[in-house]
Order: sequence, then structure tokens, then C-alpha cells
Amino acid sequence: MMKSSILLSLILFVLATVMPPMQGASTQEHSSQSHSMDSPEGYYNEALVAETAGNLPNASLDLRRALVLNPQFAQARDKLHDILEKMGVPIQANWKTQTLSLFSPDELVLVGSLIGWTAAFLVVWIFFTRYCSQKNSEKKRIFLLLILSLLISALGWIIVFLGTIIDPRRDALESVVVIAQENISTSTTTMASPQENLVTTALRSTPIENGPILAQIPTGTLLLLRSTHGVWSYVKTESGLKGWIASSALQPLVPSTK
Amino acid sequence: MQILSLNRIFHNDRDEETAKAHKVRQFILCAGASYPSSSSSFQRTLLLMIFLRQRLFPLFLGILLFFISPLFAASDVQVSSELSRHRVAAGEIVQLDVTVTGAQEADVPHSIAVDGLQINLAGQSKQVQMVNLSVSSCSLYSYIVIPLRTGIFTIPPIEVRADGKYFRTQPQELIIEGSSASYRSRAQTPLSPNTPGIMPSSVQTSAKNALSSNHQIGFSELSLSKKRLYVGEVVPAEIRFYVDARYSAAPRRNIDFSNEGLLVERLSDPLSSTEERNGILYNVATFRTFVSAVKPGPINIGPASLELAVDLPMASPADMPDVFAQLLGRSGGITQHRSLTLKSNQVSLEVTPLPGEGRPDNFSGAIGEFKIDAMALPQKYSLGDPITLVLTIEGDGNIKAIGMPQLTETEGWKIYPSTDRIGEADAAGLHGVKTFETSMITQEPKTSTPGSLFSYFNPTTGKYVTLTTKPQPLNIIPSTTSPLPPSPVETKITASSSPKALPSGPPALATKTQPLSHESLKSWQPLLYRTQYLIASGVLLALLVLLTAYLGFEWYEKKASLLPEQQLKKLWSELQEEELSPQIFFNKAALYAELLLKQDPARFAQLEDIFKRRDEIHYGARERVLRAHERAKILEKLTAAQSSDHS
Repeated sequence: MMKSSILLSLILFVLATVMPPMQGASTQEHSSQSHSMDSPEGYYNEALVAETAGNLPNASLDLRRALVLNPQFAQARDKLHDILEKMGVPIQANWKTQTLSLFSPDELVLVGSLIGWTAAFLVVWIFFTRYCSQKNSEKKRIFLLLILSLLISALGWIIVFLGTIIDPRRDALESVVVIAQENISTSTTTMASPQENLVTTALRSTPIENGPILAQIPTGTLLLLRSTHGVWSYVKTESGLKGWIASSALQPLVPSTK
Repeated sequence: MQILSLNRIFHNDRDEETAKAHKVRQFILCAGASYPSSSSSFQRTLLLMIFLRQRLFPLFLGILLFFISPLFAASDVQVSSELSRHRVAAGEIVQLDVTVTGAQEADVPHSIAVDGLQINLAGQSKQVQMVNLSVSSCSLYSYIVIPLRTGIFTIPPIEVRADGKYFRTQPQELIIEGSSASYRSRAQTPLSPNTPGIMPSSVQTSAKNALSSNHQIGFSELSLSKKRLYVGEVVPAEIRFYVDARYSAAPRRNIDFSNEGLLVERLSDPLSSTEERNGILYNVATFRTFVSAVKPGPINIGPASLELAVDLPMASPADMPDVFAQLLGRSGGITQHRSLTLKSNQVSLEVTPLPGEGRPDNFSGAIGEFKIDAMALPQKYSLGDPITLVLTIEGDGNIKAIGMPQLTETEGWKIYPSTDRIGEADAAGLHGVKTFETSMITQEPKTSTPGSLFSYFNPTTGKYVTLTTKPQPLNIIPSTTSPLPPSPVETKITASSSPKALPSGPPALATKTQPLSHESLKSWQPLLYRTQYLIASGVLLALLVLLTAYLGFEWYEKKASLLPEQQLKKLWSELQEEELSPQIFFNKAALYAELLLKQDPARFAQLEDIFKRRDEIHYGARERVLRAHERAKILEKLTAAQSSDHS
């Protein structure tokens, strides 16, 4: 009875975490009702339209959004790679992106949780029903089994931790993409590059129009937003450089309605 | 050296300062050479003082004002809106002005949705003023309100983002009444080239500068190609500033060309030329722009004014040696810095409203003469492939204000937002091409794209014209596999099958990727942060605690039940030992009996002798000897009592 109830709980756990709130609803209805859900394929299609219209910065933003929603979206990843290459934006690859290409963060968290919880139940079960009631001669063998279960449980939680830290959605709310606009001509410059006209936006050390320029950030670059001050935003680049950039040149990675 | 063209001097403050320093050196050298006597130092000092007073004091004052002006800058942002008229007849156009005061930058919506009204942003102007050391800026955003039916309408508050904060204007009420006779009479009188108000040639009224001392130095002219125009019609305007070519001049501030009731586009970069008038050679800077009226009625345009700093030559000292006079000119290189304002003439315009009769429903404010062309790319497609419908509008008029034509027969198509671009403008800027590109996808076998409708008002004929494009034919490429499921990245090169290429079209059309027809829903939150995960984890944690408590309690009970049996077992083994003294033997036997009685008090009769014998050994007078048969009998009783218990 106890075993079956635990098994049932674990199954319910999987269903509760995997199943979306409203299964079967159409995308448009759903996105209007639940702001936390969105379609990566929809963003991918919008990126194709933007690319067709020659709007590469917006296409890159849509593809980044699609990849945040589904980090294993191979088509979106390849297309983003192509577009960033055309725009002259450096492509950052680290262990997180490599792991993401192999494992889905949701799957890692789910599998890790299942392993962790199952092993935790096993530890309790073995301790009370086997370890405590056995004679001293057999306790050593049961103790080893207990330690093994504890290690499996710890491994499960390590997998959960890994799935969480590689999840791009963890930082997505604080991430912005540089989309230069025409009205910030004082901050935006255009440089000729072999592929395209590379449009960059100035990263300044002070939040004033003529502040010292730390670097020129290419359009399409992903930045981490730290704070805002008036029309200026304090951002951090992937290389760790921090500075001020015009807020009008930034678009949030997660749409504001989400 | 003194002749500098007007446009060159717009941004050469540094050159000007260098030239000034050079002139100071020349001036002092000249003064020293001319007055070798004891009075030379006095003269030099005097001239230097005059120079400092004339040149450096205004400079110092300007720098001082520059640094202290931000202290007095107005910081309060005020946003207000105003309708040009609150009650109009159907068909008349109303202007809605949104004024933003005190903000460096502001964002306003491009259109305002009101049922029965069409409200679109028509343009903006900005004015920066400095009064009593207080700097204030004022941005005016003008909307054109086109009534679509009669009734009482309330224009909702307009949300304006200024300097990072949001402001709302007051709602405005607008009453649209039935067509008035006066309106109809005006509307039914279209302008024609024969109307006296329209001048086929440009109006060029020269206005010499009012300053009597300046009229020989410079003047300016404002000219427009038409004096009678319709609301929203774009008319080219030209402003020319003439400066005597013998003098150098530099503008002190931007051209002031603000006009009420008119939208003026940004002035073009100046074209410089030279022109002879009345035997005098002038440097001419020509600025071109476009103006359009936003309200009907008589409107005066201009004057356009420009403040210049002109270097006027001063008379050389009387005793300047000829050698220096020859080298430095009549003035001896000494010039006087003087302010000069060139103000152009005014031009009176008569603005007529657009006629209400015959106005098509899809009219979006295009005024001029246009033609439209449609093209579909590619013309051969597979189901699920995006098709791009390219609509090209070409002609003379307010090309920038033209909106996307209305698409017809759109059933079965998923249409994405269109993009537009303007190109191929002529030198005057009035003629242009606007291209709209609309991507669309269908999952049905369609043989043609949607059609389109485009309406504009022709100011020459005074009538509305509606142009249509027919649905463009399409051919379906038969596919052996279903295009619906998401495939790996499929890139294919599409040959340009259209008879003519896109005008500077996007290169992306050449290489394209299949869109995905299915859509899944994913969360923007990591799984660990989702409510359902946290709730499920909480339930499992509670279950784990419950299981631990249950198993722990069970184990404790089991352990407690095992304790008396272990004691009995231990006592029994001790009672088997032969060398126990009688006292100890009976003590242990009594303890054993007590444990048995705890399990079953009904055995007392069987075990009563054991307690009596123990008491006799402890307190009685009988000898304290334990015989073998007595020992065996006691153990037999205990065994019998225990076995009865088990039975």
C-alpha cells in the first residue's frame, strides 16, 4: 500500500510538472490567457519573416526568444548562427551552450528530481525496514546499500542543479538585445564590414550623451541588464564589461507582456 | 581669404577662432610697426583694449551663459492636447496638437484608435527657447483627424512617454455634424490649374533686409510652387539666403522657420552657389523642404530667418604704412564682427479641405498622383512556403504618408505584418517610390495571391482615385512528402521567376528556410521556479516525512515489544546455572515470574509458590538451601507457565 502510494505520487509529480496548464488550447488563445507560455515555432516563423524583410536585428531577437523557450531548437540555433555571422556579432560558445545542445534543462530537472526523490524514499525505506532490524553481521551490507542510495539521491539533486544553471530562462528576464534605432544617432555608428553594414551602439562609462566610450556594441548582441537610470541602462556584456547604453537601443529578451 | 561660403562656415567654429587669433597677431604687429615713438605702447594697449572689448567680452559672456543656463533650465514636463476645432461638419479634417513642454525627448503613438475617426500622426516640430536665462523646449506633435461618420466622439487620453516617464493628456470631445452647405460648396469646388490662386511659376518675392545698413550685405527669399493647396497636400518650398560674396559670414543659430498650421519637413542640406544681382556677386545658400497644411483656411508661411555673424572690414589707421595696407587690404586686416539677421518674405496660402463626397473607405491620406504595381515572389511555391506580395506605389505627392494598401480576398492566408521602404526619390524629393512587402503563408492550394486596393486624392482633378491590383497568379509545386511536419533546416535557392526583379529588394528572398506549421507551448519560467513543480515537490516532501514518521513509529513499537522476551531469555539462561545461591536463584525466578505475570496475570496461581518460597528464603526461619529437586520443580513451573502463555 505504501509502495504503491509513493509510486503514484511520483507519477503525479511527473504529470504535474510536465503537463502545461491548458493542454490542447490553440496558441493564440493560450498566449492571450497565459502570459507565461509562448511558442518557439511562432518566434521562429516571425524570424523568417523579419529576415525576408531584411530586418536581421529583429530576426536575431526572435530566434533568441525561440531558443530561450526551447534551447534544443536546432533550426533556430542554426539560423541564429547564420544571422549573427551576417551581422558580424561574435558568437559566444561555452560549456552551458554545449550542454544545452545535448540536454534539455527541463528534462534534466525532471529526471534529476525523479532520481532524487526516488532515492530519498529508498533511503528512508532501507534504514527503517532493513538496517535497524538486522543483526550486526548483516548491518554492514545494508549500510553499504544505504550509502549507495544516498549517493544516488545526491546525484539526482546535482542533475537538478545542473539543469537549472544552464537554463537560459533563468537570466532571460534580465537579458536585453541591442537593437539600434534611428533616433539615437548620437550613439549609433555604422561601420562597413565584409558581410553587412555593422551597426554598433556605444557603451559608455557614464550615463550622458557624450560620456567616454568603453566599447562599440554590435546590434544583435545579448547583454545583461543591471539597472536603469532615466533613458540609460547599466548593462554587462558577456565578456564582463560593464557600462551605460541608451535604453532606446535595447529590447528585452522576454517580451514585456510575458 | 575673407570669402567663405555659407555652408562651409556652419561647423567651423575652431577655424574661426584660429582666424581670430591670427588677426590679433596681425593687428598688434601692424600697430607696433606704425607707432615707433613712445606713444606706440599706449596705442598698442588702447587698440588691444578695444579689441578685447569687441571680441572677447561677448565670447566670455557666451561661455558664462552656456555654463549657467542649465541651472535655470525648466525641468517640469507638461503634456497637453488641443483640437483645432471641437465641432465640425462631416468630411472636414481636424488637427489635434499634442504639446510636450520641458522634455528632451518624447514618444507619442503614431495612431489613435477611435471608432468613427481616423487619427494619424502627421508630423512634429520642436522649438527651443531661452528667455531670461531659462532654457525651455517645446515639441509639437500634430495629428490629422479624419471623421468617418457623424456623431459625438471622445478622443481618449494620449499616453506620452517623455524623459522616461509616462504622461496622459486630457480627453477631447469632437462633434461631427451632418454635411454643411458651406462645406459642400467648398468641397465641390475643386482646385484646377486655371484657378487664379495657383501660380504655375514659382512665387519669388524678394525681401531685402529691413536693416538699412544690411540691405547691401544680404537678403533672403522664400518661394513656393503653389499658393492654393489642399489639407495634407505636400508642396515644395525653397529658402535662399544671399550674402555679399565680399564678406565672410557664419550662422549663429539654426534657421527659424516655424509656422502655425503647417507641417514643415526637415530642411535639406544647403546647396551653395553664386549669383549676381544688381552687379553684386552674392554667395547663395539654398535650402529645400516640403510643407503641408494641416487645417483649412488662409495661412501665412514664413518668414524664414537666419542670424549670421558677418565680418565687416574696418578702416585702416590713417598712418598705416603702404606696405602693410597693400599686404592686408584696405582694412589692414582689421574686421568688425557684426550680427545680421536675414528675414525672408511671407507667402499667403489658401488651404482647402479635402472633399467629403466620394471619399473611399480605404482612403488613408495619400494626396498626389500615383500608380501601383503588384508582384508575388516566388510565383511557384510548395504548401507552407512563405509568399511575399510586393506592392509598389510610385508617383508625386506625400509618398512618406502613404499607408499599406488594403488587401482583398485574404481568406485562407495567414498574413504577417508588412514592411515598407521608400526609395528612388528625385532631386526635388516630391517624386518617389514606396514599396510594401507582405509575407503570407497558406496551407491550402491557392492559385493566386490576395489583391489590393489603394485610394488617393488627386489635387489636380480634385477627385478621389481608387487603384486596384489583381491577385497575382501562383503555381503550386507538387510535393511527394508532406510539408507540414517540422523538417531539419531546409535551405533552398529560389530562382527569380518573376519577370522583373525587386527594386533594391532584400537579398533574403533568394535563400529561404521553411517555416514551421505546428506550434508548441513553452514556458518562459524554468521548471524549478514553476508553481506546479514547487507544489508537486512539496507534496513529495510531505510524503517522505510521513513515511519516515510511520516507519520510525513502527520500528519503535517493534523494538518495545521485543524487550520483555529478551529479558526472559536472559533470566532463563541465568537460572540454568548450577552455582547460583538460593537467594539469587529465587530472586531471579521471582523476576521471571513477574515478567510472565505482566504478559498474563491469570498465571498467578501457577506461580504463587515461587513468590512464597522467595519470601521464606529472605525473611523466614527455614534453612536457606536449594535442593536439586526443588530447583528442578521451580524451573518446571516457570516452563509450564510460559508454555501455557504460548499456547
